[in-house]
Amino acid sequence: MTKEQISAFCVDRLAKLLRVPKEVVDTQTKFSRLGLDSATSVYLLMDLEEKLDLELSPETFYDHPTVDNLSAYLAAKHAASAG
Amino acid sequence: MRRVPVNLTSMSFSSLVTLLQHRAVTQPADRAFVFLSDRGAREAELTFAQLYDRARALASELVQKGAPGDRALLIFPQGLDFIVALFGCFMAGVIAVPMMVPRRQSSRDSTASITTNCAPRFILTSQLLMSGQRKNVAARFADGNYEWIAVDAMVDHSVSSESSKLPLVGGETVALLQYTSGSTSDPKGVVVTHENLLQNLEMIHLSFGATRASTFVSWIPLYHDMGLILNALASFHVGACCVLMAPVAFVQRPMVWLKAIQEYRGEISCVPNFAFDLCVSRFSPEVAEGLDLSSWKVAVNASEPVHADTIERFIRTFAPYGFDPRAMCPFYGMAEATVLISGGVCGAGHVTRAVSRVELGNGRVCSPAGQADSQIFVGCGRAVVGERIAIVDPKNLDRLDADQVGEVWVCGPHVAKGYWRNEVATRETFTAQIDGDPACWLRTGDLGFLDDAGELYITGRIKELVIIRGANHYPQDIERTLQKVDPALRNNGGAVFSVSDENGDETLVVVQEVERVYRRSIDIANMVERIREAVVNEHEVYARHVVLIRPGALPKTTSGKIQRGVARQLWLENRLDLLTSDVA
Repeated sequence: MTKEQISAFCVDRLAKLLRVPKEVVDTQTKFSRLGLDSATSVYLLMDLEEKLDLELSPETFYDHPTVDNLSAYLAAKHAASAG
Repeated sequence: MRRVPVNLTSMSFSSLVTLLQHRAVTQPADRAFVFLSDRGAREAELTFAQLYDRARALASELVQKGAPGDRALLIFPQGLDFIVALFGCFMAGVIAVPMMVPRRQSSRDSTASITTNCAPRFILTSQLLMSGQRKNVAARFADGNYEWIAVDAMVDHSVSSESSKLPLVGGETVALLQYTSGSTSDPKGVVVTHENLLQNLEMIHLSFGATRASTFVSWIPLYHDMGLILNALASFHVGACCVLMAPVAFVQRPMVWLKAIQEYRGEISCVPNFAFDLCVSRFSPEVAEGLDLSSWKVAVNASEPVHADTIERFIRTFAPYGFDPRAMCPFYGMAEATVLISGGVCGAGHVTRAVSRVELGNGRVCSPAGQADSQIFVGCGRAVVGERIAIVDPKNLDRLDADQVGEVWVCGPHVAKGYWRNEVATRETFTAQIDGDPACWLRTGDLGFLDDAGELYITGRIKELVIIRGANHYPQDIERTLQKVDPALRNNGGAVFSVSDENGDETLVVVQEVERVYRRSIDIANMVERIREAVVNEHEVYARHVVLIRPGALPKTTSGKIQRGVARQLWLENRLDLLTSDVA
């Protein structure tokens, strides 16, 4: 998956988890600013693991704290694991 | 047929220390605790004899370095070292203080206030937390002088003849302090004695009907009263095996919990309401392939409001996989009463009651006038042998009859003596009296009613406590956090409360006044984000609704106290005077 696809997937899932419209989920805003708590972040983590077939640590969100950062990181990781 | 418990053991023991000695002698090779990895593989186990030996070795060290009555913080990731540390403290007469691992980012969690309140001599932890990877833990305690012991680093568990002599531990000896996630400015450590524990464990035993052949399965944190007492110690008490896993394992993959119940033929597992919902929402026929829950006899739902539709959904989803609807067992309890206050009887199932919403508002319990007026409550069981439950008018302190709503009061040998070094709160909570009754009662702060048969129903709270996913949050703590975000946010001008969302789950609402001089210049969207960030960092909770209001718009009493209940009502009715972004 490309960075853009992963980003769109994250925005979609975040909107559902935080129960806000998709337009509100800014890809450069830190997850903590969006209000994502650690219990909820686990749901997103699980969705991403399933979607990308990757094992991710809960620290992932801490190290890559925005949708943009995260999707760039995941796109690279995904490409590496596929290739 | 329900099994009649025949193994009523605890009454002949004076403490959990003598009970451990008994288990180590009578069933040394039986597994007491098993710990599973996040994927469900068996990672470690402890027999009763191993538990005794390791606890004994730790107790020797504690006795050498401290004195009976000293406090020890227990800071562990979920696992068996916590259990060893707990029993080590018991044997040494050291008071155990279970605590969650301090968070990486938070500067205002309860760590500092608990430490100040209980003034520990020891910090018992694991090598991982003490060194390297989680430096923050050591850093959080850098300014104090503590004896650190990494319990998993102790390799020599042999007890030589020179081993320190252990103190006598009796029923009145304080076993642990249970900090009730109290407000950070006013920590409340419930003082639990061995007698409290043994009495409450016996009550739990009567409700569960467990024997040493039963197996418990739990992922609830061991620093939580439900994880520690209702699951782990209740299992230990009857000599059963308790299979433990990490909370995060469950949250990530609820099915790992259900599969563990299947694999270990688990009979008893106690969780909060949200756990049942999570299993249903994560369910699919593929992941549940081959699941068999027929061994599960007692599925306790406690520690947050119990929803009838949660129970129904869970039964509907998992009955085809052998889940017995009669296993559903709602409980009510709190740390001030050790843990259990009321409970159902193993195998009896749960009861519900539809009442009139309108009449409930007037404190009366009547049949609903129609569908729209109907509110369904789940019964939380009855008083257990050895205790009394009363419903009392919280204003004039008169005892109320069946089907009248009032504060739930409790009296019995499981009720703690009070809060550690907090006389004011102890007096307010633990020394209530009813006219013509010499006993001291515990005021729970919860509202409810008893029906004719003595079934207890909880309808709400007097205290403005917010409970989300089983964690208690004090509104004033969250308000203080967010008012530090920016000078535009007026001090003592906020109200935090919870409302039910479209799924019946509690969600957080923040209402906050903006100072007059800032109200035209403020960037509302940005401020809302900063508030959410502060709240999630400090309190681990998502502030779904954040509304900024004009100064003076928050309802307060004439003496200036915030009326959170009124604010909540105004918010629900969209009647708050909002600050809007189009104010030029």
